[in-house]
Amino acid sequence: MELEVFPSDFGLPALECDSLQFLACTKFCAAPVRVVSKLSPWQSPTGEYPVFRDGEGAVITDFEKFTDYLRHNAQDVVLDGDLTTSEKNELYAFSCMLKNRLYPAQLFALWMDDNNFNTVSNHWFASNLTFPYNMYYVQRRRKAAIAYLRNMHPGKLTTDAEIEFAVTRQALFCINMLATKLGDKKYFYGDKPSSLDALVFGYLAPLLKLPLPSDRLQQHLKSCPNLVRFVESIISIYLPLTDDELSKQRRARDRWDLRRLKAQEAMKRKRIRDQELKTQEANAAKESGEFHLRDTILFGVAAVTLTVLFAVHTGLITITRVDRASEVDSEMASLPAGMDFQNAFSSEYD
Amino acid sequence: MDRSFFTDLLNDELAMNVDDNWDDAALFGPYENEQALLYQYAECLSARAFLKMCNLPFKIEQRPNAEHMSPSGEVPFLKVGRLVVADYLPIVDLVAKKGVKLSDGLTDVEIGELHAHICLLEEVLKNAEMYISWMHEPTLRVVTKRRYGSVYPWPLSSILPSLKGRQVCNKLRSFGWADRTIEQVSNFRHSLNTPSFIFAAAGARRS
Repeated sequence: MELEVFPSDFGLPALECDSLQFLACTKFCAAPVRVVSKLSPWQSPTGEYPVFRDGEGAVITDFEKFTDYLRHNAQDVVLDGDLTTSEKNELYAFSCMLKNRLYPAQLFALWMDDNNFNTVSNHWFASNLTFPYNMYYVQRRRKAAIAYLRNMHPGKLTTDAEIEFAVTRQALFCINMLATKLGDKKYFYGDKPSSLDALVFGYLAPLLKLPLPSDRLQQHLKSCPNLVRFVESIISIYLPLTDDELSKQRRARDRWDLRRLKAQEAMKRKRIRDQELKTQEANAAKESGEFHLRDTILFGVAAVTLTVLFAVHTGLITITRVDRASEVDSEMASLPAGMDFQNAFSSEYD
Repeated sequence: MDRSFFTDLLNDELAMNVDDNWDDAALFGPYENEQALLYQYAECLSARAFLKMCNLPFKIEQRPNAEHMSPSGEVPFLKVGRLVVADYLPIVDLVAKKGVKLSDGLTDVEIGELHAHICLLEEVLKNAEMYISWMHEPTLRVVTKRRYGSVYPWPLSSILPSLKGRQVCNKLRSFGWADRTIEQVSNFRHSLNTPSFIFAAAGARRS
């Protein structure tokens, strides 16, 4: 039995939420599954990791199917075996809440937020996958994530800022709820880890460990000590990294932190610039009182001209041209007959 | 950015505290018997039940264009004084901010569980209802298109359902529902068949 995932980095046993959830589940029930780090997601039926192959032709990429498989294939420890029915139902409800609240948040954090995407996701995949494929892969993931987030509330959330606000807010509340639910316990249901623990771990670990420049959720997560302890303990008990990986990742860590710092500074500069621009605009708007008058006058003139032109064109106003010469002619014609013009003029000029 | 985010959040939370009186509240929704779709009907019904449980007076307004009047495109929406709030959870929030809470006696953990169950309903039942309404071909042809288009005159009655259908299908597709079969979708019942769960779900709807 094999489980294919992206390789370990940043102190995480695998890179992404789903992979971490699969890994945690296999370790929780001590299944004899060989974990293979791979960088060729095109070999997977969905084009994504994780992929589970049981060696007899069954290929599983869905979390629920995977847990079902683990339960039914006689492992020493049955996943969620000690839970009562009501606890199982509650677990199902919580998994829906995670899907509804945390999944969009991690999608946003990794793929839609420009700073995070450029600093971490894009860079990691671009430098780890092979050249022409990496561009296609990254863009496909980003497009899918953006489509997902935009489709959550079609019509309601239109701008990126609105989406960010809504998603982050939901995630903050969700994290708070998880923190109260976990309390001082080691795992969500008693002393043994369940599939809910695997799910929560999968969603929270990347948010906690990745060097993300926009770190609002990360900061919030760090302020919930029981959740941090929960994630750390699962990594150290069930998914410990080898010394090789650890030392390699520690070396790379400085580089990533530098990248993050740079991105954060760029963000700060951009924010200050935006603010300045905004105040400048506001000042300009204030000062432009006299321009308003000029604009009004210009507008009035233009409007009147256009109206007159239109009226003339459609024939509402007609201009008849009267010739000077013909005017004189008609005046002459109106003079009483029999009068001697020559005399009349000459007498005038005399 | 962080500071402004949290000020926004705070403002948002406090925004509805401005006036405390509850006068001429009206719940707007589509024509329930002729027009509303499965999931819209459910939302209207739950909002109505919730307001009744809170003992708050309100009148029901049924409008053919409720969906287009709503600020978020969702029905039902509640109008109290100058405030307009759409969708079930925001309505519950608003009522809570006016000082009426049905979940007052619950502990934080129970409130978490309650939210989890509401999410379950939204994630599973609502999407399943949307799937059945818009992606199950016979239902779409016989029920959804007719009901949705029933309030519009001729050319609109065929154009608008198609537009809405495309929007909903896009949504379901990006949520990964599109490649499920109708059997898989109707299978969600397996998770709803224990009495304790139904009770919990009912409680959750009650919020």
